[in-house]
Amino acid sequence: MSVDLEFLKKLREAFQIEATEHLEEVSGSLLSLEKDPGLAQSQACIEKLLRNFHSLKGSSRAVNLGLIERVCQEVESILVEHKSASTELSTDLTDDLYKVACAMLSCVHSLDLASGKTSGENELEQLLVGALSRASASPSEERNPISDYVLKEEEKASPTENDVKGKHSLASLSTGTMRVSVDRMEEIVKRLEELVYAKLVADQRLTDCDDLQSILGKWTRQWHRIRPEVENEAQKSGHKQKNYIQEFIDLHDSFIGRLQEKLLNLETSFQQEKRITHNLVDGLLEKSRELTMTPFSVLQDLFERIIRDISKQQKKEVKFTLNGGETEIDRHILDEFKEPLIHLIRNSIDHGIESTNDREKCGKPAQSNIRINLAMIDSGKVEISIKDDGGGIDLEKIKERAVNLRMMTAEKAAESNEQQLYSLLFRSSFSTKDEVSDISGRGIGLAIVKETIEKLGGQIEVDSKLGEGTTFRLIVPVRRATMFGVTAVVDNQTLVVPTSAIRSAIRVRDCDSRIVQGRWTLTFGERLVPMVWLADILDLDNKVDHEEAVALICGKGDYPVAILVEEVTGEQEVAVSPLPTPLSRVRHITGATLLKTGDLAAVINVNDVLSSAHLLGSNQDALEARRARKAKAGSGAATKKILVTDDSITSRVLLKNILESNDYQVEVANDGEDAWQKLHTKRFDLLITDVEMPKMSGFELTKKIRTESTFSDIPIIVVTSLASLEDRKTGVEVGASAYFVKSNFEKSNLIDMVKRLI
Amino acid sequence: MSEYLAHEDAGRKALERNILKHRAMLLARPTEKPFTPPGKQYVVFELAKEKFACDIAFSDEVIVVKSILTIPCTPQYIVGVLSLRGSLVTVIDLRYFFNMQEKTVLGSDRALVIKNGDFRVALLTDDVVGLQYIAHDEIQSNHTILYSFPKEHVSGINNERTIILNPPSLFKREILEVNQ
Repeated sequence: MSVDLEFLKKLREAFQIEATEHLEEVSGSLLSLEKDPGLAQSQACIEKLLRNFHSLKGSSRAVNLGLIERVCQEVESILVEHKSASTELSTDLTDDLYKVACAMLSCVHSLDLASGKTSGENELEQLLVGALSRASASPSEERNPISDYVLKEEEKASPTENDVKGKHSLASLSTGTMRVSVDRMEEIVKRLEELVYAKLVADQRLTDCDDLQSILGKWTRQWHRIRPEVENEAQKSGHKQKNYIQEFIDLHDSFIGRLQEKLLNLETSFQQEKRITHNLVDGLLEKSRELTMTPFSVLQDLFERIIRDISKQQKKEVKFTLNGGETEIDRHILDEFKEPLIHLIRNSIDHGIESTNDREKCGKPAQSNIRINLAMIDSGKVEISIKDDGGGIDLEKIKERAVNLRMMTAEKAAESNEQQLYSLLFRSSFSTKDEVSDISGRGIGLAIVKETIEKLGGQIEVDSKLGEGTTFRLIVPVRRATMFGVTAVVDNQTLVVPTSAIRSAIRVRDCDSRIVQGRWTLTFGERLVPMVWLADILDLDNKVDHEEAVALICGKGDYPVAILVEEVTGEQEVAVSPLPTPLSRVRHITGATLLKTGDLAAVINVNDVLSSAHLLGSNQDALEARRARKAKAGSGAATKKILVTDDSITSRVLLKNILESNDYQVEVANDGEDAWQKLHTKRFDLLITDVEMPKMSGFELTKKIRTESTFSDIPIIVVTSLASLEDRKTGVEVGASAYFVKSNFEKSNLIDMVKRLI
Repeated sequence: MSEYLAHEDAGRKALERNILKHRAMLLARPTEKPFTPPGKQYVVFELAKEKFACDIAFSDEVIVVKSILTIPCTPQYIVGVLSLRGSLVTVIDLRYFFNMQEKTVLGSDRALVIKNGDFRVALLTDDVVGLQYIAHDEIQSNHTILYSFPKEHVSGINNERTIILNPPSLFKREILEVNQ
C-alpha cells in the first residue's frame, strides 16, 4: 500500500512538472499569437496547442485528474474545429484559452502530492463553461478528430525529431536527454566546487617539497665549506679514528646524495600531480558550471505575462520584444537578477510609459515599446538593456525632488550633471512618482535593484531623453567565477576576505593617516577614507599598532572604508561552505573554507562588516567605551601573575614566552618544592605545572595547595606529556582546574584556557 | 500370561518415565533470566564535574577533536566549527548553555556528535565515560535537584547523579540556533 502511495506521489510530482511545462508553452504560444495574429500563425499555433493539450490530457488521465482531462478534451475539440475549418482563432477565444491555461496551471500547482486533491476546480469549471459558450463553433458533429491527430503525432515523433517541444514524446530516450532535478544537479556542482581544495593541497605539497630542498641545499653548502677542515682534523687524529670519520663522511655524502635524488623525484611527481589535478578540477568545474547555464529566454514568458497584466491594468498598450534571448546565463545569477529586471519593467510601464492619451498628444503611436536586448561583451559579461519609448526622466523633477528631500542644495542641484542626478535615482527614499501605486513609487525599488546587481559583481546605469524614453543598462557576469580570497590575520586567527570585495590593500604607514572629526581616516587616492579595525567589528583583540596594520579598502562606489587587519598572508582560491546548523546566520561571517594548510578559516561577509563599520563610525562613544573596556581588560592581563613550574628548561622557556607574549607576568620554578616556596612569597593568579618533576610532582603540589595552603582557590593548569586517562583522573581528584596534554599543544589553546580561568 | 507381561511392561515404562522426569527436574536449573527493567542505553559523559547521559539513539559517534575554528560574533556556547570527514559540524559547550558556574576547563579532546534527524552538533566533553543502561524507573525527574537546568531539556537524574538529557527538546534548531 505504502509502495503504491509512494509511487503515486512520484507520478503526481512528475505530472506537475510536465503539466507546468505544457501550460507554459501554451501561454507562450497564445501570447505570441496575440501579438502577431494572422491565419498562418493561427494554424501553426493551433498545431502546437493541440500537441500540448493532447499530451496533457494523456498524463492527467494517468494521475486521475478527470477535470483537467475533460478540459483538455473540450479545448482540443474547439481547436480541431478551427483547424479543419482553417479559420483564425479570435482574440476572444485566445483570451479565454489563456485564462483557462492559467486556471489549469493554478489547479496543477494546488495538486496535493499525497492525496491527489486539487483546488480551484470550480473556477476552472466556470471558465470552461464560459469559454465553451463563447466559442463560436459548437462541437455538434459526432466525429473523432482527435484520433486522426494522434496518428499524425505518432508519425511525427520519429527519433530524428530534435525539437525541444518533443520532450514528452518517446523520442526523448533516443535523443539522449535526461530529466534531472535541479536540486540534485546543484548538489553535484557544489560538491565539485569543494574539489578546489585538491588543487590547494597539490600546490602546498610542491611548496613543502621546495622548502625541504632549500633546507637540504643549505646543509650541503655548509658542509662543503667545512668538509676540508673536518678531513684535516681527522688526518691529525689517530689512525682508527681517522678511518671512522672518513667512513662516516662517505656514508654521509652518499646519504645526502640519495636524499637529494629522492627529493628531486618527488618534486617532479608533485609537479605532474599538480598539473593533472589542476586540469581535471578546472575542467570539471567549468563543465559543471556550464550544466547550470540557462538561456535568458526562459524568462520571456514570465516577462510577457507581467507586461500583459500590468499594461491591461493600467490601460496602456505595450509591445514587448526580446533580442538575444539565446544568451546563456548561470541559473543562480539569472535567479538573482530576475526580480530586479521585473522591477525595472514595472517601473518602465508605471513611470516611463505615458497613458495612451498623453502619447497621442505628443504625436507618438498609441502602442509603446519595451525592448530587452542582450549582448555579450568581453570576459564573460553580458549587457542587458531595457529600453522604453516612454516619457523619459525629467531632470528638473529630480532636482526639485532632491532639494525637497534635502539631498542637495538648490545651487548644487543646478550645477550637477546628468549622471550625478541619475545616480540619485538609485538612492533609497527617492521616487519622482508623486503617488505610491501598487506597482512602484515607494522609492526603495531602484536602490534594491542596484544593490542586487552590485552584489552579483555587475553594474547598472541609466540613460534617458525627455520625451523619447529611458534605457537601463545592466552589465552582469554570465557565470559564477571561482572565488578568490585574501587571507588576513586578526588576533592570531586567519580570516578570509573575498578578493572581489577588496579594491586595494595598502600598509597604513605608507599613507597619510590622521584623526578627522574624531575619526581615524586615511588618505586613499584623493579622498579621506574612514579606518575601522576588523578586530573591533568582530569583537576580537587587536594585536598591533595601526601604523603596522594593513588596510583593505572595501566598499562600493562613493563610500569606501579602510578595514584594518594585522597582516595579509596571501591569496588563494576558496570554496565557501555555509556554516553548519544551528548557525543559520552569523553576523559578519559568510561561511568557512579550507586553507592550503588544511585548517579551516572563517570567510568574512564584507557587506555586514561595512554596515557595522558605518554604525561604529557614527557611534564613536560606543567604540571608545569598548576600546576602554578592552584596554582595561588588557591592562588587567598585564598585572596577572602566572607561576610556571617545569623541570625541563625548554618547556619552561616555551611556556614563559607564550604567556609573556600575551601580556602575562610570568615567574618560573624548577620543581614542586621550588614552586611551593615561591607561592608563599608572592600572590599568583594562576599556576601552570608539569606532572613529572623531581622532589615534588605536579600532582603532589596540587594536592598540597588544595589541602594545606591559604591560597587553595588558585586555578591550576596541569601540563604534561602523559595523555592517559588515569592521569587525567588523578589530576581531577587532586584538584586541577584544567589539564593540558603536551602532545596536542597549541599556543592559542593554552592562552584560551588561561583566559577562561583568570 | 502375555497379557500380564504386557501389563508389567507398561508399568515399567511408566516407572521409567517417572524416574526420568524426576531426574530431569533435579538437573534442570531455573532459567536465570536476569530481570531487566524497561530502559535504554545511554552514552555517559562528564562535563564540569557533572555526569550527563544522552540517549544512544541520538548519539552518532565520539570523535577526537584536533582543531576547532572559532567563529567570531557567536554566543559563548558556540565553541566553533570543525570539519568531520569533510563536512562542517558546530561544536557546542553545554556549560555555557546551561550556565554552569564551573570554571574548570579540562583538556579533553573528545566530543560527542549528536544527531537528531537532520540536526547535528558536537558536544565538548571533559570525558566520555562510556555506555550505560539506565532503567526508566531509575530516573527521577525531581526538578528541585536540577533547579539549575531548564526543565524541558533535562528528563531527570538517576541514583548515580547522572543528569539525563532530553535530546529531542535540546538538540534542535529552534533551541540552539544563531540567527542574527
